[in-house]
Amino acid sequence: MTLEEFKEFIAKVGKVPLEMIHEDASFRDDLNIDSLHMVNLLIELNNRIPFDFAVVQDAEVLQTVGSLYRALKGVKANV
Amino acid sequence: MNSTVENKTIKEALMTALLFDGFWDRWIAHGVRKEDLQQIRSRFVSIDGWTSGWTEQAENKQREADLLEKNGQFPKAIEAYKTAALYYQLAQWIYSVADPRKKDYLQKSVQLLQKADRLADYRIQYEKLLLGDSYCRGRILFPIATPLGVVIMLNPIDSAKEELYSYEHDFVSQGFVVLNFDGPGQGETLLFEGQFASRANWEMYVAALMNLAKTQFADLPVFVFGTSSGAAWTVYVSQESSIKKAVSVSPAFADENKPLPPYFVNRFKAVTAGSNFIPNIKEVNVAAPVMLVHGKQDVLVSDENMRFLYNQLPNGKRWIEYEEEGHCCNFKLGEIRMIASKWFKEGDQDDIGGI
Repeated sequence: MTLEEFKEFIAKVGKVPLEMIHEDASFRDDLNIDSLHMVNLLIELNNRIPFDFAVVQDAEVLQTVGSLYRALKGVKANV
Repeated sequence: MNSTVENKTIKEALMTALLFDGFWDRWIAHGVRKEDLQQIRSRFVSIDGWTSGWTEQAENKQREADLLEKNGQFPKAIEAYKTAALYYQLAQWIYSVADPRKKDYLQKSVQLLQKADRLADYRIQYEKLLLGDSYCRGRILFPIATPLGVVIMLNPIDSAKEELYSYEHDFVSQGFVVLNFDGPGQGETLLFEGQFASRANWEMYVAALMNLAKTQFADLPVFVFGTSSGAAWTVYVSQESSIKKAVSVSPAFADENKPLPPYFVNRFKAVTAGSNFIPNIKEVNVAAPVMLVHGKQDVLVSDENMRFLYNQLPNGKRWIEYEEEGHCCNFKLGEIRMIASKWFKEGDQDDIGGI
């Protein structure tokens, strides 16, 4: 899944306008996706691209669109 | 439920438990120690991690309880046995109805609670309530002093009676006989008697409980206390003029259209055999005074439905609202049980105000 496809997926499942979704967008503060919605989004995501739950255990991973995308791609964030 | 749906439901439940703190509110309110949870939470990435985590914690608590009992520290031993029973509740909770491990862990939970019962100051009797051609299994608790009344507990569909030991303890300690049963679709009644939940089954179940209270405790006033789906049935049963008072915390509404967590929908379907089990409490002709309790942050029950229901209730009603609480007002439940007990002990009043 490319980053663009990932953004489209979040827009659809999270019911958020696509133009609001960028790499640095915070799920909670910018996209208004709370923790229960986040779980639902991850469940949908897991149905589409199965991943090990351990990947998303770290709270840092769930901060932004980019951090989640990188974690799922197996790429460490550039810190 | 077919195995694909079962596996998907388990996976969704695990992910919710792993990532969503709100999932644990109910369990912490019912006695899970936060430090025990934190120790094993990272293992909930698989069903094996969940099961081994909770069974290990249960075994630890059981060893602690055995030692405390041996040393004559009975109140502490009781608490440790109850906590061990709760951890086996969690171990069984994740499995589908058809999985034999669910029965095994539930049985361990029942046995550990019975170990706690042996040490209690008050008497506990195990009872079976005939329902059609099988039984609902339950517990009757008798207070030390002359009983003030009978409290019938109507529990949420997803909870077995052993999970709610703190509820029965609070009411029996306040001087009430307590009837705490697994209804159709719950705990032992589901797994060992094969009774699934349906509206018809629950109508029979609440009628049988009422009959038990009226025949075995004829001289005592009868009260009802319920949460979530049990709270909806609490309102339903309050049609009965023989109910003295009822407390309904976060009642589920049949027409509520708030989204439920995906895993919960499938778990609900599995124990209700897909039938519509929640009574339409907006159409019930309530006779008894009802105390309604609402958490303003409830994501499952709307303010509108609660207000509508409150306006339908007869004189003597009460309204309690907690600004910061969610569904079932988990972190105020101890306080709510004390308020309920106090209200049950009061005489008849026509007060229609809030508290």
